[in-house]
Amino acid sequence: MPWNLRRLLAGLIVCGTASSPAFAVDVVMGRSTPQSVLDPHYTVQPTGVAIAPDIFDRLVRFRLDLQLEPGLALSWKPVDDLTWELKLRPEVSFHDGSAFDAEDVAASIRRAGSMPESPSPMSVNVGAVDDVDVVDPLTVRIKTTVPTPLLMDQIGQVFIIPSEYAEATTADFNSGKAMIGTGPYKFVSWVPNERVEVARFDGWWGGEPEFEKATMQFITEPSSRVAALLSGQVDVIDAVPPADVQTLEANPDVDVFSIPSVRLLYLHLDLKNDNSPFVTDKNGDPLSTNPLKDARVRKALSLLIDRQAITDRILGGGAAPAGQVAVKGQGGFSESLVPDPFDPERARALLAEAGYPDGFGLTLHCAVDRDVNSPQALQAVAQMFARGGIKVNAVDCQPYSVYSGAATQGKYSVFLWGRNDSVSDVTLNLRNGYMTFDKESGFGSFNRGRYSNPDFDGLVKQALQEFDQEKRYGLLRQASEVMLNDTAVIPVYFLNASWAAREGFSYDANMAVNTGLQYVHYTGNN
Amino acid sequence: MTNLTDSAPVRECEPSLFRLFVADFIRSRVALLGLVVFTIIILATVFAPLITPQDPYDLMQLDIMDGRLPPGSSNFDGSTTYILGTDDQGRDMFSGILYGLRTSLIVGVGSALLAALVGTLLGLVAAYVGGRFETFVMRLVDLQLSFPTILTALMILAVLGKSVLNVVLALVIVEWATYARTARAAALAERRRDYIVAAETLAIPSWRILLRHLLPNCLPSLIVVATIQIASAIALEATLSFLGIGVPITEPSLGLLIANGYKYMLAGDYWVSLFPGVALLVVIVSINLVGDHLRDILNPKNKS
Repeated sequence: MPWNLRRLLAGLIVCGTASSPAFAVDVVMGRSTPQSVLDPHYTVQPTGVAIAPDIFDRLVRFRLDLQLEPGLALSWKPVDDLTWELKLRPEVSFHDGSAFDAEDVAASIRRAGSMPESPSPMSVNVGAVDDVDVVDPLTVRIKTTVPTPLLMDQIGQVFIIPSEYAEATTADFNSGKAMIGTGPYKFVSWVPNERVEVARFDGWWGGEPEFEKATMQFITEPSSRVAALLSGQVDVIDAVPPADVQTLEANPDVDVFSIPSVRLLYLHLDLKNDNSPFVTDKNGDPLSTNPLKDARVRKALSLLIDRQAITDRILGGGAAPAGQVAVKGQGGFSESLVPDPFDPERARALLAEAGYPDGFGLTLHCAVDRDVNSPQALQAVAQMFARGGIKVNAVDCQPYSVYSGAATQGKYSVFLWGRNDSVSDVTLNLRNGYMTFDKESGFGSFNRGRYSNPDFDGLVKQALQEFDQEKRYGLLRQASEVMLNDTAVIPVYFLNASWAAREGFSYDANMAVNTGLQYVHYTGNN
Repeated sequence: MTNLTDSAPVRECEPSLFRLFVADFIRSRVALLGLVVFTIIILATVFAPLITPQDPYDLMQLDIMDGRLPPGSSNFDGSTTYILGTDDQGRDMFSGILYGLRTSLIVGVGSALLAALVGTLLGLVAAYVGGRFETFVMRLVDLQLSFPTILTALMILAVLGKSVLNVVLALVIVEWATYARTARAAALAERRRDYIVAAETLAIPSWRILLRHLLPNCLPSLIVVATIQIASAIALEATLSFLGIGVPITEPSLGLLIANGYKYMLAGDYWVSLFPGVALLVVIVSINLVGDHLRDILNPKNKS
């Protein structure tokens, strides 16, 4: 009996805490991406600084649709081609009580640019910055080495730390000593690979944060994360596996929040080699020409893919068919670029026109451990190619560490690649991904297929220098249309990003695939 | 009677050995069951193309619109019934399992036999020759056995790349040591027996002593090890494929079929993983049953 009594008491206590008033709500998040360091300037990879946005503020805030709104900077405008003037938000204080001013901005931008030990340094975002001038405590002027219309998208990624910590080491951040920001939550503790705890910062300029205390638990294994949510161990999870979305949606205790994200899966095509390594004739013997160099063949391959079937069947509705590299809302998105329809007849006609009436042979490649279900999606593509008369010699999926190196060295012919581009427009995406490869200028640095079209290059170069947003978006739209009408790559689908929350909580699904406390809301009645 | 000295004692009872086997198997119901099941599996995989409704390795015959159908569903025109359901590619699980068993068995049995050949030879020679060669081989065995098998196999496949042949090779490399150690131990015991000494006195060539006298008398323990190793090779291949570094994804073995279905478990599509898992279990259990019984029969202590 005492045992039963104890259980009853325990139950009462649980009920008691659950029904406590809304201003003392706590939240536990199950997150897929453990961090190796806490230093907010350590890496440009969003997953590497995943908890930073709740502790530190940035000059701008990224809205759900990827556009910018004022953060610690109230306004910004170009003074001339190489200078931007920023007005800063007054009356902002750090967690330690010190006031935020222009010196903090200058110190943070400089520190972000000097992280030599980082595997993917933030310097790509501050590389264009020549100097930061402090005009008065609430005004800075930023000089750039080249005209940089997208400066705010870039330096907007930098988390602002107090200037007193300009010399702080990564170890100082890991110990918690330097984890002082202006953000909505104060740092409490960190157990590497396990959890981070934060508490509400009452002096936040943006209003009262919703949660008293928050714990972020790192649960990398997808099924364990889902199980933790179902059991009530955590209130919110990120990266819901597509296979589980429907099950969770059917569960009355849980809500799923999904949005087509900026993560695009597309087929890269080898346009460089005359004898592409994995293109053969129907008997499996090497071909003397590379059919992929013919735009009609590329178009035909695209028309053979039934994108809707892949997103419905393989990804359980967890993806949207793609016809371009930008998502709606992003500058450079073109209404006229719809996903290619599934049209095997036109594909066959195009193949015949290009001189391959009987098709040819291909081996397809992908990474086995990168994007959810991508090997399955590539197998489905292989099925569809096979129906269209292409002889699929093999579908070869390698571990990402092997695959990415070989793909970058141009060792494959047709391969499935994933990329996300979460800035407000596609300028950098087009510059890095599709401009003619040039080691000197860095143009086309991710252009693995080596697509090259002078018209396209010209348009992107213009956009890179264009400060007027409307004009720039127009140029980007035109460039996207040129590139995709050439079928430089074959976009297949945009992955959905999904979060799930227990009843009583909601989540702002966002295209940039950001996970953070600012997106979690308490809806009560838990 | 030179004939007598030139033949190992085991060979004398050879005619009766087979009959003994059969009689013994019939007496043990469990072992008989194992043998029958295993035989059925072998036959089913050999004649797989004749009994399966689909060639699961032919992309033309798969349709993702038939993906993840529950057991008993039919395709759109009712021409094919998927008695065990389909996986996410629209691959009939029944066909997939039989073809997958083929790969699993070829890899398992092939690698076990190849490893047996290499390991036994090295073990026997080491025991017979002794000296530095023996030390060298046995330290190599120690080295090999001190590494976790799965780690070694992973490293080998990472270097060699993915293919069925490479999986076999990796399994041979991780498994030969067990045979070598067993063969040497058995041979060392036999080595001092009178019939070997007698054979040596008669100046019979060493290779002949090794193959005609030493080997047959070491066989019982090696056969037992082999049955266990076949089962473990199949399991190991399944593990490697499950981890995504075994066979190609368009030609799944049992392990890869299980891996494909694993992520649909929480979604309720149990059949994608369950049936290949059951198939794997049945194969391994039946081989082990047969192996266990072989050990009972071949153990000299149990001979009545």
